[in-house]
Amino acid sequence: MNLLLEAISYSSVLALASVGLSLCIITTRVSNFAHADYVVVGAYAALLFKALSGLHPYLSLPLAALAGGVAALLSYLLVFEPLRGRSIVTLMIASMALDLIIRSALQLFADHVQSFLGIFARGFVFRDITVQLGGLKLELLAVAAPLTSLFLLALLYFLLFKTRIGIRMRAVAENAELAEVLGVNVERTLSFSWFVSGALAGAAGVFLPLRFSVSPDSGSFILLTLFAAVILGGLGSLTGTLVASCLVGFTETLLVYGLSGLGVSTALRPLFAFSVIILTLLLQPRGLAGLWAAERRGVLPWVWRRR
Amino acid sequence: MLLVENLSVGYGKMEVVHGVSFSLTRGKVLAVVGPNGSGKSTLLRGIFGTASVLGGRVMYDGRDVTRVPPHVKVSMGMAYLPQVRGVFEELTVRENLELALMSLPRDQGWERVEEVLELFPELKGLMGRRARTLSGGERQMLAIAMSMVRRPRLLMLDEPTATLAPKAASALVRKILELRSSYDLAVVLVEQNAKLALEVSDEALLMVSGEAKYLGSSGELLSNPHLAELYLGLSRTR
Repeated sequence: MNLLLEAISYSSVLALASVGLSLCIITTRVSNFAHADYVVVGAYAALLFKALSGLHPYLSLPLAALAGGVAALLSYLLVFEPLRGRSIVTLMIASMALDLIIRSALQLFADHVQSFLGIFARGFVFRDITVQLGGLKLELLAVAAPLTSLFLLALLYFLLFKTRIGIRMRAVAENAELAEVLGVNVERTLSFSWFVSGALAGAAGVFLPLRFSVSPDSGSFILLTLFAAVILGGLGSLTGTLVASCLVGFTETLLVYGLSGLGVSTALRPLFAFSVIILTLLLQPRGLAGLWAAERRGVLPWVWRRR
Repeated sequence: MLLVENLSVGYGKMEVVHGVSFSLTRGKVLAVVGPNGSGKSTLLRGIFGTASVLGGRVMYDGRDVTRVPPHVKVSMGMAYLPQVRGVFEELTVRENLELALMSLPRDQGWERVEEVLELFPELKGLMGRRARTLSGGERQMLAIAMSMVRRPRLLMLDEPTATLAPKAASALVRKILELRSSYDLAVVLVEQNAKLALEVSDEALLMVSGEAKYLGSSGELLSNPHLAELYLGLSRTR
Protein backbone atom coordinates (compact mmCIF):
# COMPACT_ATOMS: atom_id res chain seq x y z
CA MET A 1 0.00 0.00 0.00
CA ASN A 2 2.78 2.39 0.95
CA LEU A 3 4.55 1.60 -2.29
CA LEU A 4 1.42 2.41 -4.27
CA LEU A 5 0.95 5.72 -2.45
CA GLU A 6 4.60 6.57 -2.98
CA ALA A 7 4.25 5.84 -6.70
CA ILE A 8 1.12 8.02 -6.90
CA SER A 9 2.74 10.97 -5.13
CA TYR A 10 5.95 10.71 -7.18
CA SER A 11 3.98 10.50 -10.45
CA SER A 12 1.93 13.55 -9.43
CA VAL A 13 5.02 15.66 -8.79
CA LEU A 14 6.53 14.44 -12.04
CA ALA A 15 3.32 15.28 -13.93
CA LEU A 16 3.28 18.88 -12.68
CA ALA A 17 6.88 19.51 -13.65
CA SER A 18 6.89 17.67 -16.97
CA VAL A 19 3.60 19.18 -18.21
CA GLY A 20 5.24 22.58 -17.60
CA LEU A 21 8.26 21.50 -19.65
CA SER A 22 5.95 20.25 -22.39
CA LEU A 23 4.15 23.61 -22.44
CA CYS A 24 7.50 25.34 -22.98
CA ILE A 25 8.32 23.04 -25.89
CA ILE A 26 4.90 23.54 -27.48
CA THR A 27 4.88 27.32 -27.29
CA THR A 28 8.50 28.21 -28.02
CA ARG A 29 10.07 24.97 -29.34
CA VAL A 30 12.65 25.19 -26.53
CA SER A 31 13.74 21.89 -24.97
CA ASN A 32 14.64 23.75 -21.82
CA PHE A 33 17.43 22.06 -19.88
CA ALA A 34 16.95 24.61 -17.10
CA HIS A 35 13.33 23.55 -16.45
CA ALA A 36 14.19 21.25 -13.54
CA ASP A 37 15.90 24.22 -11.87
CA TYR A 38 12.51 25.93 -11.55
CA VAL A 39 11.42 22.92 -9.46
CA VAL A 40 14.44 23.50 -7.23
CA VAL A 41 13.66 27.25 -7.09
CA GLY A 42 10.20 26.26 -5.80
CA ALA A 43 11.79 23.99 -3.18
CA TYR A 44 14.05 26.83 -1.98
CA ALA A 45 11.10 29.24 -1.87
CA ALA A 46 9.35 26.71 0.38
CA LEU A 47 12.49 26.44 2.57
CA LEU A 48 12.68 30.21 2.93
CA PHE A 49 8.96 30.38 3.74
CA LYS A 50 9.34 27.70 6.41
CA ALA A 51 12.39 29.40 7.92
CA LEU A 52 10.78 32.84 8.04
CA SER A 53 7.22 31.97 9.00
CA GLY A 54 7.70 28.77 10.95
CA LEU A 55 4.69 27.33 9.13
CA HIS A 56 4.65 24.01 7.30
CA PRO A 57 6.03 24.20 3.72
CA TYR A 58 2.72 22.89 2.32
CA LEU A 59 1.37 26.40 2.90
CA SER A 60 4.11 27.86 0.71
CA LEU A 61 2.60 26.41 -2.46
CA PRO A 62 1.46 29.79 -3.94
CA LEU A 63 4.82 31.38 -3.11
CA ALA A 64 6.78 28.47 -4.61
CA ALA A 65 4.63 28.60 -7.75
CA LEU A 66 5.24 32.34 -8.00
CA ALA A 67 9.01 31.88 -7.54
CA GLY A 68 9.15 29.16 -10.23
CA GLY A 69 7.00 31.30 -12.53
CA VAL A 70 9.17 34.38 -12.10
CA ALA A 71 12.36 32.34 -12.68
CA ALA A 72 10.90 30.95 -15.91
CA LEU A 73 9.61 34.36 -17.00
CA LEU A 74 13.04 35.93 -16.48
CA SER A 75 14.64 33.04 -18.40
CA TYR A 76 12.35 33.77 -21.31
CA LEU A 77 12.73 37.55 -21.29
CA LEU A 78 16.51 37.58 -20.80
CA VAL A 79 17.56 34.54 -22.82
CA PHE A 80 14.97 32.98 -25.10
CA GLU A 81 13.08 36.03 -26.30
CA PRO A 82 16.24 37.65 -27.72
CA LEU A 83 17.07 34.28 -29.35
CA ARG A 84 13.61 33.77 -30.90
CA GLY A 85 13.82 32.34 -34.41
CA ARG A 86 17.27 30.81 -33.83
CA SER A 87 17.92 27.12 -34.50
CA ILE A 88 16.86 24.42 -32.03
CA VAL A 89 20.54 23.64 -31.36
CA THR A 90 21.25 27.27 -30.41
CA LEU A 91 18.26 27.33 -28.07
CA MET A 92 19.28 24.03 -26.51
CA ILE A 93 22.84 25.22 -25.85
CA ALA A 94 21.49 28.48 -24.42
CA SER A 95 19.25 26.49 -22.07
CA MET A 96 22.25 24.41 -20.92
CA ALA A 97 24.13 27.63 -20.12
CA LEU A 98 21.05 28.94 -18.32
CA ASP A 99 20.92 25.73 -16.28
CA LEU A 100 24.47 26.40 -15.04
CA ILE A 101 23.65 30.04 -14.28
CA ILE A 102 20.52 29.19 -12.26
CA ARG A 103 22.37 26.47 -10.36
CA SER A 104 25.17 28.93 -9.50
CA ALA A 105 22.58 31.49 -8.39
CA LEU A 106 20.97 28.81 -6.19
CA GLN A 107 24.40 27.99 -4.69
CA LEU A 108 24.83 31.66 -3.73
CA PHE A 109 21.29 31.77 -2.38
CA ALA A 110 21.88 28.61 -0.32
CA ASP A 111 25.09 30.15 1.11
CA HIS A 112 23.24 33.29 2.17
CA VAL A 113 20.28 31.41 3.63
CA GLN A 114 22.69 29.20 5.56
CA SER A 115 24.73 32.09 6.96
CA PHE A 116 21.89 34.56 7.66
CA LEU A 117 19.17 32.19 8.87
CA GLY A 118 21.40 29.52 10.33
CA ILE A 119 19.58 26.60 8.67
CA PHE A 120 20.80 23.78 6.46
CA ALA A 121 20.24 24.88 2.87
CA ARG A 122 22.10 22.02 1.18
CA GLY A 123 20.75 18.49 1.25
CA PHE A 124 17.69 19.64 3.17
CA VAL A 125 14.46 17.68 3.62
CA PHE A 126 11.04 18.59 5.02
CA ARG A 127 9.36 16.49 7.67
CA ASP A 128 5.93 15.39 6.49
CA ILE A 129 2.70 15.43 8.51
CA THR A 130 1.22 12.04 9.36
CA VAL A 131 -2.53 11.81 8.98
CA GLN A 132 -5.06 9.19 9.97
CA LEU A 133 -7.56 8.29 7.24
CA GLY A 134 -10.03 5.75 8.61
CA GLY A 135 -7.83 3.00 9.92
CA LEU A 136 -4.99 4.02 7.65
CA LYS A 137 -2.02 6.04 8.86
CA LEU A 138 -0.25 7.83 6.05
CA GLU A 139 1.97 10.74 5.14
CA LEU A 140 0.11 13.83 3.94
CA LEU A 141 2.22 13.88 0.77
CA ALA A 142 0.36 10.82 -0.51
CA VAL A 143 -2.87 12.86 -0.54
CA ALA A 144 -1.61 16.40 -1.04
CA ALA A 145 0.59 15.75 -4.08
CA PRO A 146 -2.05 14.02 -6.25
CA LEU A 147 -4.81 16.43 -5.19
CA THR A 148 -2.64 19.49 -5.91
CA SER A 149 -1.59 18.02 -9.26
CA LEU A 150 -5.17 17.26 -10.22
CA PHE A 151 -6.29 20.74 -9.20
CA LEU A 152 -3.47 22.57 -11.00
CA LEU A 153 -3.71 20.46 -14.16
CA ALA A 154 -7.50 20.95 -14.25
CA LEU A 155 -6.83 24.67 -13.87
CA LEU A 156 -4.37 24.49 -16.77
CA TYR A 157 -6.99 22.72 -18.89
CA PHE A 158 -9.54 25.40 -18.02
CA LEU A 159 -7.00 28.12 -18.79
CA LEU A 160 -6.08 26.66 -22.19
CA PHE A 161 -9.53 25.72 -23.43
CA LYS A 162 -12.01 28.00 -21.68
CA THR A 163 -10.34 31.40 -21.48
CA ARG A 164 -9.30 34.09 -23.94
CA ILE A 165 -5.65 33.93 -22.90
CA GLY A 166 -5.78 30.13 -23.43
CA ILE A 167 -7.02 30.56 -27.00
CA ARG A 168 -4.19 33.05 -27.54
CA MET A 169 -1.64 30.60 -26.10
CA ARG A 170 -2.83 27.78 -28.37
CA ALA A 171 -2.91 30.10 -31.37
CA VAL A 172 0.62 31.39 -30.76
CA ALA A 173 1.86 27.82 -30.26
CA GLU A 174 0.38 26.82 -33.62
CA ASN A 175 1.36 29.84 -35.71
CA ALA A 176 2.92 32.84 -33.97
CA GLU A 177 3.18 34.91 -37.12
CA LEU A 178 -0.50 34.56 -37.95
CA ALA A 179 -1.43 35.35 -34.35
CA GLU A 180 0.65 38.52 -34.60
CA VAL A 181 -1.02 39.68 -37.82
CA LEU A 182 -4.39 39.21 -36.12
CA GLY A 183 -3.39 41.60 -33.38
CA VAL A 184 -2.24 39.15 -30.70
CA ASN A 185 0.67 40.45 -28.64
CA VAL A 186 2.87 37.40 -29.16
CA GLU A 187 5.59 38.51 -26.73
CA ARG A 188 3.14 38.96 -23.89
CA THR A 189 1.42 35.64 -24.64
CA LEU A 190 4.72 33.74 -24.71
CA SER A 191 5.84 35.45 -21.50
CA PHE A 192 2.63 34.30 -19.85
CA SER A 193 3.09 30.72 -21.15
CA TRP A 194 6.58 30.63 -19.66
CA PHE A 195 5.32 31.97 -16.36
CA VAL A 196 2.66 29.24 -16.23
CA SER A 197 5.15 26.52 -17.09
CA GLY A 198 7.57 27.73 -14.40
CA ALA A 199 4.75 28.08 -11.86
CA LEU A 200 3.78 24.42 -12.35
CA ALA A 201 7.42 23.42 -11.81
CA GLY A 202 7.72 25.70 -8.75
CA ALA A 203 4.59 24.13 -7.23
CA ALA A 204 6.11 20.67 -7.79
CA GLY A 205 9.19 21.92 -5.92
CA VAL A 206 7.28 22.13 -2.62
CA PHE A 207 6.84 18.34 -2.63
CA LEU A 208 10.39 17.51 -3.64
CA PRO A 209 12.08 17.87 -0.19
CA LEU A 210 9.32 15.74 1.32
CA ARG A 211 10.72 12.82 -0.64
CA PHE A 212 14.32 13.59 -1.58
CA SER A 213 17.10 15.66 -0.08
CA VAL A 214 17.40 18.87 -2.08
CA SER A 215 20.53 20.84 -3.03
CA PRO A 216 21.12 23.62 -5.56
CA ASP A 217 22.11 21.07 -8.20
CA SER A 218 19.18 18.69 -7.60
CA GLY A 219 17.74 19.83 -10.93
CA SER A 220 20.28 17.71 -12.79
CA PHE A 221 18.89 14.56 -11.13
CA ILE A 222 15.26 15.29 -11.99
CA LEU A 223 15.86 16.63 -15.48
CA LEU A 224 16.42 13.25 -17.11
CA THR A 225 13.16 11.89 -15.67
CA LEU A 226 11.25 14.97 -16.86
CA PHE A 227 12.59 14.54 -20.37
CA ALA A 228 11.78 10.82 -20.23
CA ALA A 229 8.13 11.71 -19.50
CA VAL A 230 7.98 14.41 -22.18
CA ILE A 231 9.61 12.24 -24.87
CA LEU A 232 7.56 9.14 -24.02
CA GLY A 233 4.40 11.26 -24.07
CA GLY A 234 5.32 12.70 -27.46
CA LEU A 235 7.00 16.09 -27.77
CA GLY A 236 4.30 18.70 -27.87
CA SER A 237 1.47 16.69 -26.33
CA LEU A 238 0.26 17.73 -22.88
CA THR A 239 -2.04 14.72 -22.51
CA GLY A 240 0.72 12.38 -23.66
CA THR A 241 3.12 13.92 -21.14
CA LEU A 242 0.57 13.52 -18.36
CA VAL A 243 0.02 9.82 -19.09
CA ALA A 244 3.76 9.24 -19.58
CA SER A 245 4.53 10.93 -16.24
CA CYS A 246 2.32 8.39 -14.49
CA LEU A 247 3.90 5.48 -16.39
CA VAL A 248 7.45 6.68 -15.70
CA GLY A 249 6.66 7.57 -12.07
CA PHE A 250 5.05 4.22 -11.28
CA THR A 251 7.63 2.12 -13.10
CA GLU A 252 10.58 3.98 -11.60
CA THR A 253 9.21 3.68 -8.06
CA LEU A 254 8.54 -0.06 -8.45
CA LEU A 255 11.91 -0.61 -10.08
CA VAL A 256 13.80 1.19 -7.32
CA TYR A 257 11.87 -0.84 -4.73
CA GLY A 258 12.64 -4.07 -6.57
CA LEU A 259 16.31 -3.23 -6.99
CA SER A 260 16.78 -2.28 -3.36
CA GLY A 261 15.03 -5.53 -2.39
CA LEU A 262 17.62 -7.40 -4.44
CA GLY A 263 20.40 -5.47 -2.80
CA VAL A 264 21.22 -3.52 -5.99
CA SER A 265 22.22 0.13 -5.54
CA THR A 266 19.44 2.66 -6.19
CA ALA A 267 22.13 4.92 -7.66
CA LEU A 268 21.20 3.17 -10.91
CA ARG A 269 17.88 5.04 -10.83
CA PRO A 270 18.77 7.54 -13.64
CA LEU A 271 19.52 4.59 -15.89
CA PHE A 272 15.79 3.91 -16.07
CA ALA A 273 14.89 7.40 -17.37
CA PHE A 274 17.78 7.22 -19.81
CA SER A 275 16.53 3.83 -21.11
CA VAL A 276 13.00 5.23 -21.56
CA ILE A 277 14.38 8.10 -23.68
CA ILE A 278 16.57 5.85 -25.84
CA LEU A 279 13.91 3.17 -26.35
CA THR A 280 11.21 5.72 -27.19
CA LEU A 281 13.41 7.49 -29.69
CA LEU A 282 14.35 4.16 -31.28
CA LEU A 283 10.94 2.46 -31.35
CA GLN A 284 8.31 5.21 -31.29
CA PRO A 285 9.95 8.64 -31.79
CA ARG A 286 6.59 10.44 -31.67
CA GLY A 287 5.78 8.85 -28.30
CA LEU A 288 2.32 7.98 -27.02
CA ALA A 289 0.74 10.93 -28.83
CA GLY A 290 2.10 9.59 -32.12
CA LEU A 291 0.66 6.21 -31.32
CA TRP A 292 -2.82 7.64 -30.66
CA ALA A 293 -2.66 9.71 -33.84
CA ALA A 294 -1.68 6.62 -35.81
CA GLU A 295 -4.52 4.60 -34.28
CA ARG A 296 -7.01 7.34 -35.25
CA ARG A 297 -5.75 7.20 -38.82
CA GLY A 298 -5.64 3.41 -38.75
CA VAL A 299 -1.93 3.34 -39.59
CA LEU A 300 -0.41 1.86 -36.44
CA PRO A 301 3.16 0.61 -36.86
CA TRP A 302 3.14 -3.18 -37.28
CA VAL A 303 4.70 -3.80 -33.85
CA TRP A 304 1.72 -2.16 -32.14
CA ARG A 305 -1.05 -3.44 -34.38
CA ARG A 306 -3.67 -5.58 -32.68
CA ARG A 307 -3.88 -9.06 -34.13
CA MET B 1 -4.73 56.41 -46.84
CA LEU B 2 -1.70 54.18 -47.61
CA LEU B 3 1.47 55.71 -48.95
CA VAL B 4 4.49 53.51 -49.61
CA GLU B 5 7.65 55.45 -50.38
CA ASN B 6 10.79 53.91 -51.83
CA LEU B 7 10.32 50.79 -49.73
CA SER B 8 13.05 48.15 -49.62
CA VAL B 9 12.24 44.90 -47.85
CA GLY B 10 14.18 41.72 -47.15
CA TYR B 11 15.01 38.91 -44.80
CA GLY B 12 18.03 39.56 -42.60
CA LYS B 13 20.36 41.57 -44.79
CA MET B 14 19.16 40.06 -48.08
CA GLU B 15 17.13 42.66 -49.97
CA VAL B 16 14.23 41.20 -51.96
CA VAL B 17 12.14 44.29 -52.75
CA HIS B 18 14.02 47.34 -54.00
CA GLY B 19 12.62 50.85 -53.56
CA VAL B 20 8.93 50.37 -54.41
CA SER B 21 6.50 53.31 -54.15
CA PHE B 22 2.73 53.55 -54.54
CA SER B 23 -0.30 55.10 -52.87
CA LEU B 24 -3.85 53.87 -52.33
CA THR B 25 -7.06 55.62 -51.30
CA ARG B 26 -10.21 54.20 -49.65
CA GLY B 27 -12.60 52.25 -51.83
CA LYS B 28 -9.89 51.31 -54.33
CA VAL B 29 -8.39 47.93 -55.13
CA LEU B 30 -4.71 47.72 -56.02
CA ALA B 31 -3.61 44.46 -57.65
CA VAL B 32 0.02 43.51 -57.14
CA VAL B 33 0.97 41.12 -59.93
CA GLY B 34 4.15 39.66 -61.34
CA PRO B 35 6.02 36.43 -61.97
CA ASN B 36 6.87 33.96 -59.18
CA GLY B 37 9.62 35.21 -56.89
CA SER B 38 9.19 38.84 -57.93
CA GLY B 39 8.76 39.99 -54.30
CA LYS B 40 4.97 40.53 -54.20
CA SER B 41 4.43 38.72 -50.90
CA THR B 42 7.60 40.21 -49.39
CA LEU B 43 6.34 43.70 -50.25
CA LEU B 44 3.12 43.02 -48.36
CA ARG B 45 5.00 41.55 -45.41
CA GLY B 46 7.25 44.61 -45.34
CA ILE B 47 4.27 46.96 -45.27
CA PHE B 48 2.71 44.99 -42.45
CA GLY B 49 5.94 44.55 -40.52
CA THR B 50 6.51 40.80 -40.64
CA ALA B 51 9.60 41.18 -42.88
CA SER B 52 12.52 43.57 -42.33
CA VAL B 53 12.20 47.02 -43.85
CA LEU B 54 15.67 47.93 -45.11
CA GLY B 55 14.81 51.37 -46.48
CA GLY B 56 11.97 53.78 -47.28
CA ARG B 57 8.79 54.26 -45.28
CA VAL B 58 5.14 53.32 -44.96
CA MET B 59 2.58 56.04 -44.14
CA TYR B 60 -0.93 55.09 -43.02
CA ASP B 61 -3.54 57.78 -42.46
CA GLY B 62 -0.76 60.39 -42.41
CA ARG B 63 1.28 58.57 -39.77
CA ASP B 64 4.64 56.88 -40.27
CA VAL B 65 4.01 53.21 -39.39
CA THR B 66 7.19 51.74 -40.86
CA ARG B 67 8.50 50.46 -37.51
CA VAL B 68 5.13 50.00 -35.79
CA PRO B 69 4.69 46.34 -34.66
CA PRO B 70 2.05 44.29 -36.52
CA HIS B 71 -0.32 43.90 -33.55
CA VAL B 72 -0.46 47.70 -33.22
CA LYS B 73 -1.07 48.10 -36.97
CA VAL B 74 -4.05 45.79 -36.57
CA SER B 75 -5.51 48.07 -33.90
CA MET B 76 -5.01 51.02 -36.28
CA GLY B 77 -7.28 49.42 -38.88
CA MET B 78 -4.83 47.50 -41.06
CA ALA B 79 -5.52 43.84 -41.81
CA TYR B 80 -3.27 41.33 -43.52
CA LEU B 81 -4.12 37.86 -44.71
CA PRO B 82 -1.01 35.68 -45.22
CA GLN B 83 -0.57 33.50 -48.29
CA VAL B 84 -0.85 30.12 -46.57
CA ARG B 85 -2.34 28.97 -43.27
CA GLY B 86 -4.53 32.00 -42.69
CA VAL B 87 -6.46 30.18 -39.98
CA PHE B 88 -5.54 28.22 -36.86
CA GLU B 89 -6.19 24.63 -37.81
CA GLU B 90 -6.36 23.25 -34.28
CA LEU B 91 -8.87 25.86 -33.10
CA THR B 92 -12.58 25.70 -33.86
CA VAL B 93 -14.20 28.20 -36.22
CA ARG B 94 -15.70 29.93 -33.18
CA GLU B 95 -12.30 30.12 -31.44
CA ASN B 96 -10.68 31.47 -34.61
CA LEU B 97 -13.26 34.26 -34.73
CA GLU B 98 -12.95 34.91 -31.00
CA LEU B 99 -9.20 35.23 -31.39
CA ALA B 100 -9.63 37.80 -34.14
CA LEU B 101 -11.66 40.09 -31.91
CA MET B 102 -9.63 39.70 -28.74
CA SER B 103 -7.94 43.06 -28.68
CA LEU B 104 -11.33 44.79 -28.92
CA PRO B 105 -13.22 45.85 -25.79
CA ARG B 106 -15.41 42.99 -24.52
CA ASP B 107 -18.68 44.87 -25.08
CA GLN B 108 -17.98 45.18 -28.82
CA GLY B 109 -17.05 41.54 -29.15
CA TRP B 110 -19.59 39.05 -30.35
CA GLU B 111 -21.81 41.58 -32.14
CA ARG B 112 -18.98 42.10 -34.59
CA VAL B 113 -18.75 38.35 -35.19
CA GLU B 114 -22.49 38.15 -35.82
CA GLU B 115 -22.22 41.03 -38.24
CA VAL B 116 -19.42 39.28 -40.12
CA LEU B 117 -21.35 36.00 -40.12
CA GLU B 118 -24.10 37.80 -42.06
CA LEU B 119 -21.49 38.42 -44.75
CA PHE B 120 -20.29 34.81 -44.61
CA PRO B 121 -23.44 32.78 -43.86
CA GLU B 122 -21.60 29.62 -44.95
CA LEU B 123 -19.68 29.74 -41.66
CA LYS B 124 -22.74 29.81 -39.40
CA GLY B 125 -23.20 26.05 -39.40
CA LEU B 126 -19.51 25.33 -38.92
CA MET B 127 -18.84 27.15 -35.65
CA GLY B 128 -17.95 24.05 -33.59
CA ARG B 129 -15.72 22.44 -36.22
CA ARG B 130 -11.94 22.55 -36.12
CA ALA B 131 -10.58 24.65 -38.94
CA ARG B 132 -8.47 21.77 -40.24
CA THR B 133 -11.68 19.93 -41.21
CA LEU B 134 -12.89 22.76 -43.49
CA SER B 135 -12.54 22.85 -47.28
CA GLY B 136 -10.05 25.25 -48.88
CA GLY B 137 -12.80 27.73 -49.79
CA GLU B 138 -14.32 27.62 -46.31
CA ARG B 139 -10.90 28.22 -44.74
CA GLN B 140 -10.31 31.28 -46.89
CA MET B 141 -13.79 32.59 -46.06
CA LEU B 142 -12.96 32.10 -42.38
CA ALA B 143 -9.60 33.83 -42.80
CA ILE B 144 -11.22 36.87 -44.43
CA ALA B 145 -14.02 36.86 -41.84
CA MET B 146 -11.33 36.94 -39.13
CA SER B 147 -9.76 39.98 -40.77
CA MET B 148 -13.14 41.71 -41.14
CA VAL B 149 -14.18 41.25 -37.50
CA ARG B 150 -12.05 44.24 -36.56
CA ARG B 151 -13.66 46.42 -39.28
CA PRO B 152 -10.36 47.30 -40.94
CA ARG B 153 -10.01 50.19 -43.36
CA LEU B 154 -7.15 48.60 -45.26
CA LEU B 155 -7.23 44.92 -46.23
CA MET B 156 -4.07 43.31 -47.63
CA LEU B 157 -4.56 39.86 -49.13
CA ASP B 158 -1.70 37.61 -50.17
CA GLU B 159 -2.88 35.23 -52.91
CA PRO B 160 -6.23 34.41 -51.28
CA THR B 161 -7.29 32.22 -54.22
CA ALA B 162 -4.03 30.22 -54.43
CA THR B 163 -5.43 26.88 -53.27
CA LEU B 164 -8.95 27.26 -54.65
CA ALA B 165 -10.71 25.77 -57.66
CA PRO B 166 -11.63 28.41 -60.33
CA LYS B 167 -15.29 28.57 -59.27
CA ALA B 168 -14.46 29.04 -55.57
CA ALA B 169 -11.75 31.57 -56.50
CA SER B 170 -14.26 33.71 -58.46
CA ALA B 171 -16.77 33.51 -55.60
CA LEU B 172 -14.10 34.64 -53.14
CA VAL B 173 -13.02 37.57 -55.30
CA ARG B 174 -16.69 38.61 -55.69
CA LYS B 175 -16.97 38.53 -51.90
CA ILE B 176 -13.88 40.71 -51.53
CA LEU B 177 -15.35 43.28 -53.94
CA GLU B 178 -18.62 43.18 -52.02
CA LEU B 179 -16.73 43.92 -48.79
CA ARG B 180 -14.84 46.74 -50.48
CA SER B 181 -18.10 48.41 -51.47
CA SER B 182 -19.93 47.80 -48.19
CA TYR B 183 -17.11 49.02 -45.95
CA ASP B 184 -15.38 51.48 -48.27
CA LEU B 185 -12.21 49.43 -47.85
CA ALA B 186 -8.86 49.98 -49.48
CA VAL B 187 -7.69 46.59 -50.74
CA VAL B 188 -4.20 45.46 -51.73
CA LEU B 189 -4.57 42.18 -53.58
CA VAL B 190 -1.48 40.11 -54.36
CA GLU B 191 -2.48 37.54 -56.94
CA GLN B 192 -0.81 34.88 -59.04
CA ASN B 193 -3.91 34.80 -61.27
CA ALA B 194 -3.04 38.10 -62.92
CA LYS B 195 -6.01 38.18 -65.29
CA LEU B 196 -8.54 37.77 -62.48
CA ALA B 197 -6.78 40.37 -60.32
CA LEU B 198 -6.48 42.98 -63.08
CA GLU B 199 -10.11 42.56 -64.09
CA VAL B 200 -11.41 43.34 -60.60
CA SER B 201 -8.91 45.99 -59.50
CA ASP B 202 -8.73 49.75 -60.15
CA GLU B 203 -4.97 50.07 -60.09
CA ALA B 204 -2.09 47.70 -60.69
CA LEU B 205 1.50 47.34 -59.59
CA LEU B 206 3.63 45.02 -61.72
CA MET B 207 6.62 43.65 -59.82
CA VAL B 208 9.58 42.08 -61.59
CA SER B 209 12.73 40.96 -59.72
CA GLY B 210 11.79 43.02 -56.68
CA GLU B 211 11.24 46.24 -58.63
CA ALA B 212 8.10 48.04 -59.75
CA LYS B 213 7.93 47.74 -63.56
CA TYR B 214 4.53 49.35 -63.90
CA LEU B 215 2.21 51.37 -61.69
CA GLY B 216 -1.07 52.66 -63.07
CA SER B 217 -4.50 51.66 -64.24
CA SER B 218 -5.27 47.93 -64.28
CA GLY B 219 -7.13 48.26 -67.57
CA GLU B 220 -4.08 49.78 -69.21
CA LEU B 221 -1.80 47.03 -67.98
CA LEU B 222 -4.23 44.42 -69.27
CA SER B 223 -4.22 46.05 -72.68
CA ASN B 224 -0.46 46.60 -72.75
CA PRO B 225 0.61 43.72 -74.97
CA HIS B 226 4.29 43.99 -74.15
CA LEU B 227 4.08 43.93 -70.33
CA ALA B 228 1.05 41.63 -70.08
CA GLU B 229 2.55 39.02 -72.38
CA LEU B 230 6.14 39.26 -71.22
CA TYR B 231 5.63 39.21 -67.48
CA LEU B 232 2.16 37.92 -66.84
CA GLY B 233 1.74 35.35 -69.61
CA LEU B 234 -1.47 36.99 -70.81
CA SER B 235 -1.96 36.62 -74.57
CA ARG B 236 -3.10 39.50 -76.75
CA THR B 237 -6.33 37.74 -77.75
CA ARG B 238 -8.06 37.74 -74.40
